Amino acid sequence: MKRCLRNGSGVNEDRISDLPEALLLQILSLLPVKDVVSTSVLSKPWRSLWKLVPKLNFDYENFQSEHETYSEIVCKLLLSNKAPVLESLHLDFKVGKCRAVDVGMWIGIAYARHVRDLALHVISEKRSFTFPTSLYNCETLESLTLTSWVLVDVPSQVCLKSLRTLRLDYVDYKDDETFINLLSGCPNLENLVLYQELPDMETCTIAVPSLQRLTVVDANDAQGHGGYVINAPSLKYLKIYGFKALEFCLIENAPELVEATIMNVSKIINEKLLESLTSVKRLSLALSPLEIKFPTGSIFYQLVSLELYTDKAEWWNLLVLMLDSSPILQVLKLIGKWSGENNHLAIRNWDQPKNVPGCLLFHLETFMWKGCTKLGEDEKEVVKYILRNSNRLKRATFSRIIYEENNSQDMVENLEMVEELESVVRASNSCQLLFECNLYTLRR
Amino acid sequence: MSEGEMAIIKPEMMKSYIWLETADGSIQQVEQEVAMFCPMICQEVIQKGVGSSKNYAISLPQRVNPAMLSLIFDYCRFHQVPGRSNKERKVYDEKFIRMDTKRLCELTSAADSLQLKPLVDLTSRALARIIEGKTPEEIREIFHLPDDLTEEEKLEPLKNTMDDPRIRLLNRLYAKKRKELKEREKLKSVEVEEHVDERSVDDLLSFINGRDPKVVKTSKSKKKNKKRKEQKNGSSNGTCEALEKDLHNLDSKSQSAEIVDNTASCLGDVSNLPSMEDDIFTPKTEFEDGYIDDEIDPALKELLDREVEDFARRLNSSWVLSIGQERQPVNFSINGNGTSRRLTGHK
Repeated sequence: MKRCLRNGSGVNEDRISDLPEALLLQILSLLPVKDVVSTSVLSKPWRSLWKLVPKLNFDYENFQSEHETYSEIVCKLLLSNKAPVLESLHLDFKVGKCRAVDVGMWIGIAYARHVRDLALHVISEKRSFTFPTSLYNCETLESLTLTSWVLVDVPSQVCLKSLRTLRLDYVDYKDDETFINLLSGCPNLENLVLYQELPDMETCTIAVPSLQRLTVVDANDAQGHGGYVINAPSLKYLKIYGFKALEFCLIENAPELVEATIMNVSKIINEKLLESLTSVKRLSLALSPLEIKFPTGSIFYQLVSLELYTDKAEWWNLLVLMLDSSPILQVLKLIGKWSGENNHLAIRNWDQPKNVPGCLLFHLETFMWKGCTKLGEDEKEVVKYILRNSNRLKRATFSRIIYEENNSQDMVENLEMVEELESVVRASNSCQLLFECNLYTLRR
Repeated sequence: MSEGEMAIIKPEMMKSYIWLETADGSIQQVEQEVAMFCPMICQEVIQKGVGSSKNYAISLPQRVNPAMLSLIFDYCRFHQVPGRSNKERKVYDEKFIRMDTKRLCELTSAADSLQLKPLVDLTSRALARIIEGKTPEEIREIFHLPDDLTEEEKLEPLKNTMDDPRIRLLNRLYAKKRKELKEREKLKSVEVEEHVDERSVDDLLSFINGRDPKVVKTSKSKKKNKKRKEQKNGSSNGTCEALEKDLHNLDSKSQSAEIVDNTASCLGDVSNLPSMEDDIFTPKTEFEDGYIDDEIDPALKELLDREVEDFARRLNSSWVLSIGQERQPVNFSINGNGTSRRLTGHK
């Protein structure tokens, strides 16, 4: 029954239809549905292939037709799909152009097909769309993404038994209860990604025993009320961006934590953040010690890699605090802003620690300073301190970004810095200094 | 080991090679670490112990010819080095796949038979980019596909769905919903005046109590962010927004016919979705309002929710039934390997 497409000895041979079906389906899965359907008219072998594509991507903007409504097209294509497993359905639609009934129909069809990954993006001019409750009840759904003009309204008793990944991008919530109900209905949730502006909820309570990965990006307008309560005992990876001016941010202890990134957190009245992260192995902080409570006395007993951003007020004090509390630190990276004249905040009142931190003496192997175009005297003191005291240091890298127009004064200063640092007596015999320059060219 | 030490040791190190034979009979050798980057070769070496000498060369699948093999090994040679940054790899990949479509197809096929997934993904994405947004004529030309379907056959795929029992079920449900909603609207229009009054009183009260400013502010800022998000995603269309404004100005739904025409002319046409007979789904004017106001009261919403869930259940059982009839007896593998099913000419 196999049909051979080769014309024999022609130069213009059809190479693509020869590919295995699974591979062609993989290629078609990368296309929006409109293009997939049009392959049905290409040639004989392609007539039915489009129906087997396991990933459907409906793009509202490009799916307009004179003859049918968008809803009709979606329903028809969903029902025509005969893939043995419907792996993913990405659907966007516009409020006001599609009835709630239609949307309910699509969801019903998708769930009846046991879709694994569902992503719904709602476009609107003014109003949010409330999905029927049937959206939050499915035994087989593994990943759900809701984006934009969505009003999440979840009564208690919903069940998304197999859901492992949940992503909510700038959605609205009817009330705080709704969010709690939704999370309670996901007993196997492992990955939660939230992009939001906190005024959507007074208190964002994330209490998920099974949660392993949490990312929260909060773009709020620094209103000064509301906050987060995070209780995720199995948490392994945490990312927090932009908690500004909140009443509270409370994180319960996360003993399984492997990696945490905390950026741009400030002005929180009631804050319990760093002290719950003491089990972490890799930490990235863009924080000022003035804005956050440093848990003095706590030890980051497993911390191996630390990244500190140097554009925050008194970052150098945070550096010292972290060095003192991280006994087995091996990798230290200081990261300046990539653009602008001053990549980092110039140090003022640098006081050498009274006792050399243990990690410098026994563990630190890699030191990196990224974006150190201009190192002032105090900054050089920090570098020298590290070089002078790190017995195990293998490599110290200083990288800077230079722009196309090179300032000769700049070059001279840089050479001087290189010489100065090279001449420091290093504690470690095998320590190499590396100076990197990344040329940043402006695309015209 | 520092680089200095490595330089001294290298010439003395015995490099191992793997021997490979392509379908045309030619045999070549490749450095071990490069060849082992391909799972299929790795498997042959470990499980069958072949490849260590010329006489025991590994036979490669038919879809791998010497030219493609050489390309693949260039790819492997670059990527098997551990120290490269993600950016470096990306830049290399982008340069690597710049080739004519014929070679790209050959490369995809060869990489698939060697089970080299990263390269398969890379080439698949490249092929998808070539196909996306093109008309069937253009695609046929690029890939040299024969235009061997009759006009009737070209319309066939979507035509057949008319007989689908699920489509009929859907149609019936749509008709029922429309009727219900129409009835509710008739009832509602009687009460409309009162509703409007109540709401305005509520608004006034909450404003007086001072709760509004916060609500108003957040909705404004949200809109700002969402507009930003929309624009970032490229989903807002200048012409669409202008049309929306027009729609807002028109109050009554009876203006639907005009609006539909405007909509159609404003937005693009789907080139190859053939027109269906209109009796399957209701004719435009009745069904499609310009701007559908979905402010259904909660009781009706509950009812709709339940209906939809019920529909889904019925759909599920009829899907299970129909699976037995429609599924073809041939088995095919979902993951790519050399023996998976090829395209056949029939449905």
